[in-house]
Parts: sequence; C-alpha cells; structure tokens
Amino acid sequence: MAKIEHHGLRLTRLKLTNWRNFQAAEVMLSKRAFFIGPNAAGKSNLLDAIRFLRDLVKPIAGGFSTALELRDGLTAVRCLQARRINFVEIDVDIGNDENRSLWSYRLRFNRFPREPFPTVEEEEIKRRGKSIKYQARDKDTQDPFRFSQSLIQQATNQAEFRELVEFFTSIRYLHVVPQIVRDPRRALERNEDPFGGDLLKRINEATPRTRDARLRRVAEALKIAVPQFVDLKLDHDKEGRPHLKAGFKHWRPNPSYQTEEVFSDGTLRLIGFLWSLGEKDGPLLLEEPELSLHPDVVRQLPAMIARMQRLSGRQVCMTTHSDALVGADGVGLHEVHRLIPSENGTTIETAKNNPEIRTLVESGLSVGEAAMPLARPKGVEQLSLFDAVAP
Amino acid sequence: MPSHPKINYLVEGVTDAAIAQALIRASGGIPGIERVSRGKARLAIDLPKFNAAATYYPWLAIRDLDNDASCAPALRLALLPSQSSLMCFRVAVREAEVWLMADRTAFAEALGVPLRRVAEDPEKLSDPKLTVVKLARDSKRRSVRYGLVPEEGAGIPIGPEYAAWIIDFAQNTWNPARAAKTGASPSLAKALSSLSRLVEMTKRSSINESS
Repeated sequence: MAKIEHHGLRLTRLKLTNWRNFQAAEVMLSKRAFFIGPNAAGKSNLLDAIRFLRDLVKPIAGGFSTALELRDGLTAVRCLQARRINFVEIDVDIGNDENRSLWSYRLRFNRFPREPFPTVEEEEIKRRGKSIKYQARDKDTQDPFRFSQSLIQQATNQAEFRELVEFFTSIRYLHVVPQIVRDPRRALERNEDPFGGDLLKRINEATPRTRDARLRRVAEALKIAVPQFVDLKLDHDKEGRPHLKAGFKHWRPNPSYQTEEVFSDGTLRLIGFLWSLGEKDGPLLLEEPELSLHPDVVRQLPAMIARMQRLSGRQVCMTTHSDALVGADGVGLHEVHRLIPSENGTTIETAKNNPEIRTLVESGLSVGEAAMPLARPKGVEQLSLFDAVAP
Repeated sequence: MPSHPKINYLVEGVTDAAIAQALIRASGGIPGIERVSRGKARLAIDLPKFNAAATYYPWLAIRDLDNDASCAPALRLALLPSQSSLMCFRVAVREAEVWLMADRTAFAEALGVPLRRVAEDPEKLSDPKLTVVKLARDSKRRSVRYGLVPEEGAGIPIGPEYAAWIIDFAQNTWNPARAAKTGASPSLAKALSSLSRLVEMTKRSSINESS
C-alpha cells in the first residue's frame, strides 16, 4: 500500500528557531544538500533537527516528549544564544519539482514556568498552503497535559496527513561503520541501525526483483569509482546467512567474487549508502560520507549519488569537510550550504546567495574551490603553536 | 620487448584522463602513470616538469585551447617552446569534448539525439560544453536530460552526472580512430597520428635497449 502519492518528495525548506546552535536559520534544499563549515558550527545539529521530525512520528519509542528526552531535554536542545524569545521551533516545507510546498509543518515548543515538562506551544500542518490542523496553547491553559503530545504523532488524526507522516517516518540517518556491517551476528537481528548493522538484512528482505534492480544500479554507480567492478549479488551461506558478493574483472575470462567480509571499508560504506539511496524514501542523512574513501573516489561521489537518485528520487543531506566532495564536477551553487558561526548563533548561507562565491564560480572555479576556503575554521594554523605536551 | 608500451599522461581534469586513456589504447599503447593537474593554470606549471621527465619516458599531455590563443600550434609553442623527444603535447580545439563529438554517429546515439543535431565541424563551436548540454536538454533519454543538464539555480554550466557521462562515453563507446577519420576534428587526427608516432618510437627504443 503506497501511502506516499507524490513522486520525489523532499524537504524543500528548513527553518530553525533556537534549535541548538541556530538562533534563527533558514535554508532552501534541493535533491542534494552539502553542509560545510568549521567543527562545532552545528552541521550535525542541523541533521539532528531533521531526525527530530522522524522521532516525532515514530510509532514505537517516538513522540514529542520521547524525541526531546532522547536529546536530554529541552534545555539541551534550546539555543544558548536564545534571548528575546525562548521557544524552540522547527518549520519545514515538503514538496517536489512541481510544487515546493505540498506540505508544511511547524512545531513550536517550550516549557512554561512552574511546569514539570515541555509542551507544544503551537503546531500547524498545511497542505498546499492551506491549514488543515492547528493547535495553540494560550497563556492561561490550566491543563498542560493536553499539550504534552504533538498533533502529528496521534494515530487517530493521521488519516488526513498520512503522506506527511510517512515522509517523516522514512527519514533515515546513516553512518555506516564497516565493522558493524561485517559482524555476522548483526545481519539478521538489527532493525533500523544507523550504523549499517541491518544493511544485509534489508537487502535480503527486498523482493528479488527490487533487489536485483537496485543492486544492478548500485553496481553501475560503483563502476564510476571502481572500474574493475562487474556486478553485485546476494548469496546465502550454509547457515542461511546472507552475504554480499561483488565481482571484479581481471585478466581471467570470468570475474572473481568477494564477499562483504573482505570488502575494503570504503567499498562497504559506499555500498551501504548507495543501497539506502536506492530506497524510495524520505531524506537520507549522511555524516561525512568521504570517510575512508580515496579522494579520487570522493570526487565521483556526487555523480554516484545523482545516478542513484535518478532511480529513487531520494534526497540526500550530508555534512562534509571534504574539498574533493564539494569541489566535484557538477555540484551546483544551490546545493552547497555554509554554516557560519557567530556570537548570535550559527546562520546558514547557500553558496548561490553569496555574490563573491558566485563570481568566482562564473570565472571558472568549482563551487567547492570557491566556497570551501570560507568554511575553514579561523586560526587553525595556530593550533600547531599550542604545546600539547606540558613541560 | 613490450608490444604495447606504457604511455604516461598529463591532463587538466578527470574527463580528459578518460579521453587520454582511450587515445593511448587506440594508438597501440597502454595507459601508464596518470597526472591530473586540476585546471589549466596548474597544468601550465606541471608541463615543464613532465616535459623534463619525457626525456626518458613517454608522456602524452592534453590541454583545451579554449579561447587562450588564436590556434593550437600558437598555444603549444607558448606553453612549451621546446618539446622533449618523448613528449607528445596536444591541444584540443576548443575543448576535448569536440574530440568525442567527432565520433558523430556514436555520440548522437549515446546522447539520444538525431545525428543531424551533432555539428559536422565541432572545432568551430565557441563553447562545446554548452553545446553538449544544450543537446542533452533535447535528449530522448530521461537519464541524459537529468544527468547532464544543470538544475535551476546551480550556477554552473553542467549537470550532476556530466563528467561521469563523458568518462563513460570516452571509455566504453568512443572510437578515436573512427572519430579521426570523419575529418570533423583535425586537432584530433593530428593528436592521434602524433601519439602513434610516439608509441612506435617507444617500441623501437625499447628494442634497442634490449638488444
């Protein structure tokens, strides 16, 4: 039963108020989003805001209060720079190429004086710009319990905005750890493991037709980086455990096959997120996808992502420190977002909106070459002056 | 005695590397060490160094003419006044894409456009990259339209899979000898014959060494 009726649904706009590092930040998102900036600027916190949406609607261990508890409560989430206003708000648009705001969702929450728990202050769901669900708490509400849940998490309500709930539910955070994927004990037990422990299980559970088509696509994308690569298939060992097998071309007439146990870390990470990219779901959130990959492969990563997206339309939001990734051919000004920390919290600037970067790109620099120097931490060259070993 | 001598290559970018490899194979050599300069400014710096190396080992260097000189020989002379005996420095008029377009039938087929849309004299194009993207816009294949055409607001001339597509075409479909025969790109034909001479020379010199 397909509950997502629109193709290529993605987050098109994200606005944060007092969310961790972000006192007031807004960003427009396309199919690929690269978030750059110095350490501790808030790149992961930005992805976390998107994960929060997913935690809100998770049927098990989800909901408003659980989502906050998972993050150590409201005070941990609220921006340190919060001043005049002290609520936290997440405001998003969801749409596709035809209509950028098929759905809008806004959740504002806070903890009121002398109350033991945070509550929803205001919440609104819009469909094609028209409000279809709204709740707001006025100052003299006597019963805070009424607002201890969000509208969107309540199953009885969801029929009207099922597509939005499904979209939030299918948001996925992925940070593949090769050692975890290889661990045979994990292969059949884990569910929704952000570290990739359920990768083989998910591949195993796909219908053979979907699986073959998707593995073929993954192999095709991998060929961009690893030309000797021939194909990728799933096999089972004597105990019935699934294994990935990759064929490599060499001087013999037939390709030789290797299982995931001997894949390099880089190959395994690549397969992990390329497979996830093939799933027709909500945004895929990646932390530093360049890890353990050769710079030449990283340079091909944006193209690989685009190739997988052709099949699935799935959006990818990633944080990165890699010049090679952002500097790759074909990365556009609208896809690179720079986090700029300041005393008043971090702001987000899309490269497209920076005239200086635009001019550099027009004169032939890649977007990465133009934007990355601005994302470097200030004073990093002085780090070496610190005496690491006390005299 | 190697029947297929190793030819190293120095190029501006990853797409040019794929083109260099195909050229080397078509001339009877095997691609050797790869040096991607990333940009023509750095290629200009690299060129004299690898030219020095080309006293001993064969090197192919390729650069786009762009609009940097009136003609290819003028640019070659300006960048490298004296070529080492084993250096084959070639300039593509105006961009390496033209060499691919010269294989007209295959190019039209891969791009999914009618043959008549691919220029018969692509060296006259002022911006070949833009021409390829324009053609891709009208492709009958969704994958080409989606991959080669930039999204709105991208601010760059090419789409997300442009480089990957060029590499794929250069490695798997493009036939440099067939392209050279069409006469569409004299700079390609000259590059190919000059590279073939280098391959022959390398073969001979290794025969001398082993005897």
